Amino acid sequence: MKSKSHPRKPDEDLDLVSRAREGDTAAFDELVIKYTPRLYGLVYHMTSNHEDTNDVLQDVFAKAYRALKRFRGKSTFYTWIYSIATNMTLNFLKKRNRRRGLSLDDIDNAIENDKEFIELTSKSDPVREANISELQERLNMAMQKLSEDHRAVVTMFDIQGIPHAEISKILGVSEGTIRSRLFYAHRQLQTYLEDFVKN
Amino acid sequence: MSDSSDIEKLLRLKKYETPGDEYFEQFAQDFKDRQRSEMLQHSSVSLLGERVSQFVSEMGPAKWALPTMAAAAAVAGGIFIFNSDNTPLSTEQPIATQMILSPDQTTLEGNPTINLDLSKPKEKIPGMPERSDGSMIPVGLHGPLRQF
Repeated sequence: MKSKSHPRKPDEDLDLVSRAREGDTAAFDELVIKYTPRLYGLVYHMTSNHEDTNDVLQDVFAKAYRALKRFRGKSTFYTWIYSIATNMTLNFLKKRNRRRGLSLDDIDNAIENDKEFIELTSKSDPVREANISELQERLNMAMQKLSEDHRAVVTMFDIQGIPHAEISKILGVSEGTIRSRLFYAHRQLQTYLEDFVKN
Repeated sequence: MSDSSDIEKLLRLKKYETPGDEYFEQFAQDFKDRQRSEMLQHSSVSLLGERVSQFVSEMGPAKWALPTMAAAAAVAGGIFIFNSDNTPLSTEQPIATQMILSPDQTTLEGNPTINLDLSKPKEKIPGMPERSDGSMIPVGLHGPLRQF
């Protein structure tokens, strides 16, 4: 599938970013509130640790605020801050010399009404038999076995639903590389979860 | 369940792992507190540094003269310090040095080794005070060689 160049949508955060650049801290607070849940998801699914996620995310926003004057608007603010968060998380994972224990978040009860969850539990015995927290733990352990680069792509595409083109901009690699990493990561995850997902 | 799409479906369920709205509200508040406290702690030194760098960046082409000016100031400072430490030798030393060089060596060019003739002078210099053993008394600022 070839990538197509679409006309770029105007940056919906432009006004907040301009105000924040001029020193309006309240405008930056609004950006923090807007992007914390999404960036939390990115960092959390890469670290599988709530405390680490909290620390990294605080640093991400602090760095973004300091670097805001250098933001030239060549990409959207969303892409820009996602790049900062991804790079800082990858650096953090490289420095984390030993694997910390998983510190998993609670599962939102809404999962029980999720169409895909119902479908999976209805057709697969192991998934049906496993309780939700066991399912969560198995998935996170499998994710942690992936390399950081593969985990980043799986997190953004499979969990957060970010399109290939956007991931390619965030990571600064081609869409072909993104697809290749996804393919390899899925194959690995299938192996790690083989007993869990087989019929 | 064996195909890749089932893995993708399982992964999509991970979006339900979330700490909840209370956490996000607290996070925003913590960040705000941290940001304000960092702003207060921003020292006057770093503010000065930022303003200097901004001033320099706004100077345009003239900013390239700054390193030259800084180097000139450093050289001037060095000369001033050197002179203040060596004032007694500043006027007399070149004359005295020339006098004790051997007759065929009046310049140091082309010969990094200086052969100093430290033997007694062949001829007595008029007005030059002597010790009892015939050696000359070192020349000072107020010595009789000042006339040279």
